[in-house]
Amino acid sequence: MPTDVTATTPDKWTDKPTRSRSEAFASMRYIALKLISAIPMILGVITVNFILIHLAPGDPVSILVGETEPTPEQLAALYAKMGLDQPLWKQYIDYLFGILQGDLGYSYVLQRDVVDLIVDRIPATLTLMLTSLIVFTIVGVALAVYVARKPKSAGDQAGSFLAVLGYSIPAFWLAQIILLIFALELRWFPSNGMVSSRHMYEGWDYFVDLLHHLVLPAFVLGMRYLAINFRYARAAMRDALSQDYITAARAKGLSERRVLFHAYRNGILPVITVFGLNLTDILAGSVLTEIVFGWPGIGRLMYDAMYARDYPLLMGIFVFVSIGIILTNLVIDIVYSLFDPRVRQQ
Amino acid sequence: MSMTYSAPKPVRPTFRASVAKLHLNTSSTIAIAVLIGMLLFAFLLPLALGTPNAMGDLSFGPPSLAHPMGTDDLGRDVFTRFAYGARSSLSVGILAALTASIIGISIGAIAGYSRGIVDIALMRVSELFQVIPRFFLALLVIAIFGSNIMFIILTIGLLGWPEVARITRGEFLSLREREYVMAAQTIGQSKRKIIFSEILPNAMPPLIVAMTMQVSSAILLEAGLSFLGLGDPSNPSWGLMLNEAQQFLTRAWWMAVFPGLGIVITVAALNVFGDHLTDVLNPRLKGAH
Amino acid sequence: MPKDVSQNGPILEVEGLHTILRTTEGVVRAVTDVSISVGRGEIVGIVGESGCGKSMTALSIMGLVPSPPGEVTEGRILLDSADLRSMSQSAFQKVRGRRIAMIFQDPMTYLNPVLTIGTQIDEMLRQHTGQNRKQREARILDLLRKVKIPDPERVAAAYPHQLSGGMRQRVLIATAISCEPELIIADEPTTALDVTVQAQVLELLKEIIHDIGSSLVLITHDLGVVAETCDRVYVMYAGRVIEEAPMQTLFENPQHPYTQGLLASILRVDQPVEELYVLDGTVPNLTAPPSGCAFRDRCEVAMDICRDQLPIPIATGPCAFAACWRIPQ
Repeated sequence: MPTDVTATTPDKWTDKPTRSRSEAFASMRYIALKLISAIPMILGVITVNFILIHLAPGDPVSILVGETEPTPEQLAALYAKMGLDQPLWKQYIDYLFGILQGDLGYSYVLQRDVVDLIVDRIPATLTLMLTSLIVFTIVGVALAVYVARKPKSAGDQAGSFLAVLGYSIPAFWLAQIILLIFALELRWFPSNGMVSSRHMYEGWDYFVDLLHHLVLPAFVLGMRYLAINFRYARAAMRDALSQDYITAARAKGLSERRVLFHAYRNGILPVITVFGLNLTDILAGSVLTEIVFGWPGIGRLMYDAMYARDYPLLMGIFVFVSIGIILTNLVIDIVYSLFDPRVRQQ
Repeated sequence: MSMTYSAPKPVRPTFRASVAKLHLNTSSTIAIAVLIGMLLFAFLLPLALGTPNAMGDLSFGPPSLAHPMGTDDLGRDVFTRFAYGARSSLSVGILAALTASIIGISIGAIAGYSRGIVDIALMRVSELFQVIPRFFLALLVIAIFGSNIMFIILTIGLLGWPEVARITRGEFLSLREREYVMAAQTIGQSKRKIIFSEILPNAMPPLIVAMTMQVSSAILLEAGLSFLGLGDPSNPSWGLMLNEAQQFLTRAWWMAVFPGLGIVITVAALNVFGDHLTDVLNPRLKGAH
Repeated sequence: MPKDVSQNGPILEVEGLHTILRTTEGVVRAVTDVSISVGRGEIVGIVGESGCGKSMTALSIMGLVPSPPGEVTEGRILLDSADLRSMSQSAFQKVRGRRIAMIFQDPMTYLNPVLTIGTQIDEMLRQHTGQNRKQREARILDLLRKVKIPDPERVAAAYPHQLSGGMRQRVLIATAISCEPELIIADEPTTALDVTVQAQVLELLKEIIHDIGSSLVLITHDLGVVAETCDRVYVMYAGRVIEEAPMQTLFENPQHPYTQGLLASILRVDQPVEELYVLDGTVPNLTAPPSGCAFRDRCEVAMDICRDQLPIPIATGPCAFAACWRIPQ
């Protein structure tokens, strides 16, 4: 037996471990690739919107103005900006650059820039979404990890039943029912808005009042997070627990806690990407929940825009939300690659 | 562990065997029963009932023998409207899923069979449609172009194709490398014949699952749009009924409860059925979506 | 270097082991009435085709039969005279890894892809030894050197997918010997490797076992591997041990027709390929094991009695037994 093993198998050493420098390079390359792939997506969203404006019945200006009666100066400015006398490609380029510079249009109904209107509503939407997301993701994943160890047990069955319900209940209907029971009948929670309009609370009281308003909508929205996370985390945990390396960990005599640690990372990782994939559904649920509870977020803004036929605002929200989703997915991909060394190698 | 056992004796493919192949358990049996029941209810019962817009004398009547689901603000029978709503909601769901499937299968087949530039371009477009918030786009389109039931079906269908296309493409990519497809190619069969008689039938199982899921998400999407007031008023769906119920929540809970239950039960049955099909058709993905 | 089994009493004794798997198609009798003993410092082979219960036997000894669907229903498993089956979970946990270690077939799937090599060896040391961090780090490098991995610092920081198959198997060996166990069970340790690497890994395994003075149970379908390594061999078929003999005896004078078939199917240098014997048929379905001798359908010398009655093991020489009706009483 030769003392130097490597000498006899040169071909087996072509894939020897590479030092962290090339590892870092792989990460950078991965991130760069992801960034580049987001660009056509964003262009695509803007293009879809542009096409909609021009496909709509009537001329684009009347669509944008809707049922409002803008001043002649405003109309003249709009005509100038849209450049309807210009060739279509020129209009497209101008429109594109306008959006990329943060110009999402002007709401003639509310007499304000669309960007400002949206930005005003972001805190409310994020408060609701993030609270609900954080709380119910944790609950969903924890529940999944707990039941995954004992498949077919009563807890597992109950969790799966709950998950199917969470997937099947329309957010707005659950919102109605919850509202009916807990706000209108039992009067435990307020039925409308983010803070009480009758009192002007400050400091701690304000926070408590906000929480009080937050409970019901966050719960409604959370049912969906719970369902999504439970399903995927359970499947991923089941899968991870059936892997050979779990048997290997047991064979090493590791404590049950340490054995589960082996499954956690591989079991919970998919949850991150799944969130990105479900983001569009989650946002839809969020809009509808906001509407039922009168939560002053982007969803409510959109609802009002729809009834006022405020198309610039509707389109602005669409572009804004779409780009938001694309960027969130980008961040998720990058975060995921930091957790899983294999992804970076691709 | 590498334990292999010889397969159990082949069973003759009788009807009973093919039903047994579905490996029905309690929950999937219930799901199928609910779906069949709901279909019969939605497409047969409205024929026997009066028009959904017939107004009675009693407004906001609670559930009673005459009106099992109560009456609404205009004195219309909620049960009648529920039955018609089932018809609308299921029609939209099924037709939108069909639209999505036809588009998705065509695009996925083209992408998977041609590969190269065409494939990359088509898959990019489908990725775009997957990140675009479907609900927002549908809302925008219907708000601009008007809420006619055919238009709603088309819009939802047009937004649902990428998922089907992705699955079709994946199946095509792997199936076109199989021996029987290779064999068909070498004996000079036309592309169309190969696609329709060799590849597509074999790609069906995962596509059926995808279509089931399309139906359930289309029903939910339509319900959401109708709830926002974008439904077709001449074809009341469950979503539209919930829209009407919103302002009378305290006065007439039954207006909100029954249509919502209809949606939940139908969608849940579809999801359970779809999950079950996934488990049976692809045991490796057990429990996953 | 065969050692006398009776010297200090065997390190491992398995008596009448039965393991079943409850599947949807019925109860699979994966291991039936298996008795095995392993002496101190001895290398014992378990041979047989895939699906004959070798791996299940190994998992049963380790107490790692997946449950559900599996279950050890009967038998005694004695490690140095202590019954493993009657041990509490926590006591058994202290045995695994520290006193019996296992090396698996496919080092890629048995290493966790998201943890570094160093971490995966370290957790074993952390569990079973009281060493501090510094000592453990030194020990890990030492172990990697012992399995002849060049540049151990780099490998310790690497993830499994960055190593070659041979290197990964060396890592599994390093992990297994980290607590210097008295017994190592290696389940097809070289099957997933290139032929050239196989011989090296086998040689390394032998050397290391000898070094730390532990015993080895080598599970394989490859009689060539057995010939190069083992002192004594058990041949398994359809969940049962059908022949047992010292290595030399088995190769020179195989008694059971199955063993004869296996041996005849090995490609030898001095034999033209055309004469290569191929064992027909497959291992029977263990859900409904046939009556009598499980091998009779594939056996060229089967008799009437083979259909009805289970052959009993008959001594065929010193430390040698075979279960076949053809062997004269």
